[in-house]
Amino acid sequence: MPYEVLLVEDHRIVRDGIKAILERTAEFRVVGETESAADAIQFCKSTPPHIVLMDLSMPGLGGVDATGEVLRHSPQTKVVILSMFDDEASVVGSIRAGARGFVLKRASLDDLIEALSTVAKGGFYLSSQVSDRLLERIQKGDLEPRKLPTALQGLSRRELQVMRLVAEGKSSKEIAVLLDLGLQTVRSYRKTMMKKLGLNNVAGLTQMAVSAGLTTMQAPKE
Amino acid sequence: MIPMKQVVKTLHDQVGGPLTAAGVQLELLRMDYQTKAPDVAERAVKIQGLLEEAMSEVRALTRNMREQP
Repeated sequence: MPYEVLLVEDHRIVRDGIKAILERTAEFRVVGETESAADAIQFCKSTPPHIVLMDLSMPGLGGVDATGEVLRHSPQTKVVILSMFDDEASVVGSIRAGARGFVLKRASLDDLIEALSTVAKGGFYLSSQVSDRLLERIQKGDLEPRKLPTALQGLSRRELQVMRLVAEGKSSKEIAVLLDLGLQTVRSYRKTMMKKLGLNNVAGLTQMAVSAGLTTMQAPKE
Repeated sequence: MIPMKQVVKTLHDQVGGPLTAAGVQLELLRMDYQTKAPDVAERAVKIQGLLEEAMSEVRALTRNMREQP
């Protein structure tokens, strides 16, 4: 029986192409396609697929946070990240969030099938360019785990998630949709988080989130 | 002056996206023709090679921009 795959990619032409490639194999069957992480989370809640092949950079919730959310609702599902870039934060963040594979978007995508097969059978997979860079950095000794600043260490995982999204300019309503939480719950997370950090405005919070490396994307200026 | 973050985002979305899409379409072309017209498949591979060079440049450029203080 083929492995069921959900494709999560905001560029339709890329999604269509990958679907066509996977459909030429007997090993995989595309059971769903979504262009946002929020839709992917909803999909996994109702019909968990074997594998989610997810773009790392999408508007709204990115691939790293979405991986954590997918696995929270569907722990048996295996997530493979597809990314244009192989920067350390993305690779390490994805793996820490529970992704089993990280495939670099390349002109040939020749390792995509191999990655999905390996992960479907319970293994882990990194594109060779990704593992090469990672190993090189480990050898140089500059891949030490980044510690959160002391001020942020008292925040829960959810509060850190909310903090990052607030810093990226999302409203409480948008965050509630993205994280599949109630609006009051998000407001409560915001209030507790601001209190813990001793902050009283979004500008201070954004500055703190950027300097802690939680996000590289700041809210657009009015 | 365009902010660096906006340049990185444009490189990712507006340059990386179409390059990836072109690569995927070439992969399909290669798969379609590898048996019935291997010379066409071979040309597709050559174009993929050129595309990969461009993608590597975009990746390196973005990496350098992100690492700049």
